[in-house]
Amino acid sequence: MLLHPLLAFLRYDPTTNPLNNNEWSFPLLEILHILGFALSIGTIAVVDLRLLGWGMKRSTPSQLLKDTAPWSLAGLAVMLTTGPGIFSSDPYMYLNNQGFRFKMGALLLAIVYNYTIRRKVAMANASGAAAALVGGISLALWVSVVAGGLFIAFV
Amino acid sequence: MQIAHAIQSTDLGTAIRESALVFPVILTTHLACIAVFGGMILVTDLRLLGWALKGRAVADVVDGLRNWKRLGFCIMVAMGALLAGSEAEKYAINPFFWCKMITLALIGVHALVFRRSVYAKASEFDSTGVIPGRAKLAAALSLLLWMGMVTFGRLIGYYEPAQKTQSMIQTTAANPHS
Amino acid sequence: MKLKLLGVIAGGLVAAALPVLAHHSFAAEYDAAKPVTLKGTVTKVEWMNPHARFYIDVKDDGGKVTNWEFELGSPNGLMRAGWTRNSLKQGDEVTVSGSLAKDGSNLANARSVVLADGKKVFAASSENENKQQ
Repeated sequence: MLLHPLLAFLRYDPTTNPLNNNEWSFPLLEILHILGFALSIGTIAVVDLRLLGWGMKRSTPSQLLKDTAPWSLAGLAVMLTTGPGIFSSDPYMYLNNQGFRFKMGALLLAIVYNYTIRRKVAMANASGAAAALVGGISLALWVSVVAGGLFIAFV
Repeated sequence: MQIAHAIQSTDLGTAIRESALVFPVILTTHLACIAVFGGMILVTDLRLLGWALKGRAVADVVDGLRNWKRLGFCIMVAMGALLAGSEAEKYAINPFFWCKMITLALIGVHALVFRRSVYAKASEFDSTGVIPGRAKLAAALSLLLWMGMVTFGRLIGYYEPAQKTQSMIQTTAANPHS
Repeated sequence: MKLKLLGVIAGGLVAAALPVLAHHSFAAEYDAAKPVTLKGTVTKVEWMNPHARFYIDVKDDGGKVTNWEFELGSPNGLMRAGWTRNSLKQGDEVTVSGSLAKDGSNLANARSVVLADGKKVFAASSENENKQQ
């Protein structure tokens, strides 16, 4: 994989990472990671729920998407900084971990899906079974990312 | 401690504690609920503070998400009870767990205190177009309390008791089943 | 209302006052550059989530016995590595290889264990097996 030669080239030694050398930095980063995905996934879920015909029924999917998009993005920004931060504490361990690999695959799928199919369907204010399917898949993808992350410690 | 030992020694508690997939699945469910339903709590608080979803009616947010947040809450508590019950002795001496439970109790108090004056009045805020200070206070406190839940919850796994307290834990004596 | 705020602050202060945290990542708690191999008798096994652990009595040349603690992976991880719930039993003679805890205590993260029957199993450790340096 690309990362191995890069890390070797940089002579990166994880034992020098501050995350591994004081008590609170790692748990703090993890907590920010969790809060970040509550923000991103929560705001995404509001739209997904609406596509399923549930939740904030007085608003249309496109209205909800427009209003939640900046917050979902903010949440994602938190994830994409805290995530690599956590990763940096033990890169080879994560790279070789099946839970992590699954998570990254699911994450890539979830992000791409979010900004393509789901966006299109929500902006079109679709309803019915097709819209529900799109919303349901989105939820499933993001829950898979969370599951993958958790399973890092259980494989 | 006797109670804790009794709780975790039940068949259910033992099965969860020693399980291969059940424990991580319970934990995943707990986390997924934090993501989806905890996130909705976040959205509600942000709306009441007037920061997010400003174009959406407050009533739509509060009323539309209410039952979902309740569902998520029930699932989270159920999963939490299973987790804590399966290792009750360790949780009993874990200060982060108790901080989390105190925070949970405060969340209950918060709901009671603000139910009538804030959460039942969402449509009023829409018709006047003004979110009163009390509602914003409720939202700010809610944010603080739920961030506390996440913080203490994550820290539960980091607590290591001093050796003396460690020996208080009778846990699985070497293989009682073999 | 003030009471609630007080409660939250108190909780935060309590948490801040607590000094001891066990790290949850291998890299933070253990030192891969400090390998250790010990042979001893199993005194206790804790087959539990999220980390199983076991304890052995190690007798040195002088006959002195010290008790060592070893951290393993999760039951799921262990079973994927070939363990069963009964792979380790009190009284078993085992040889454990692992990485010492940074704090100098009689604690290590097990990398592999040679069980009583001679079978070698990996410990589903969070330490990376294929370290590339």
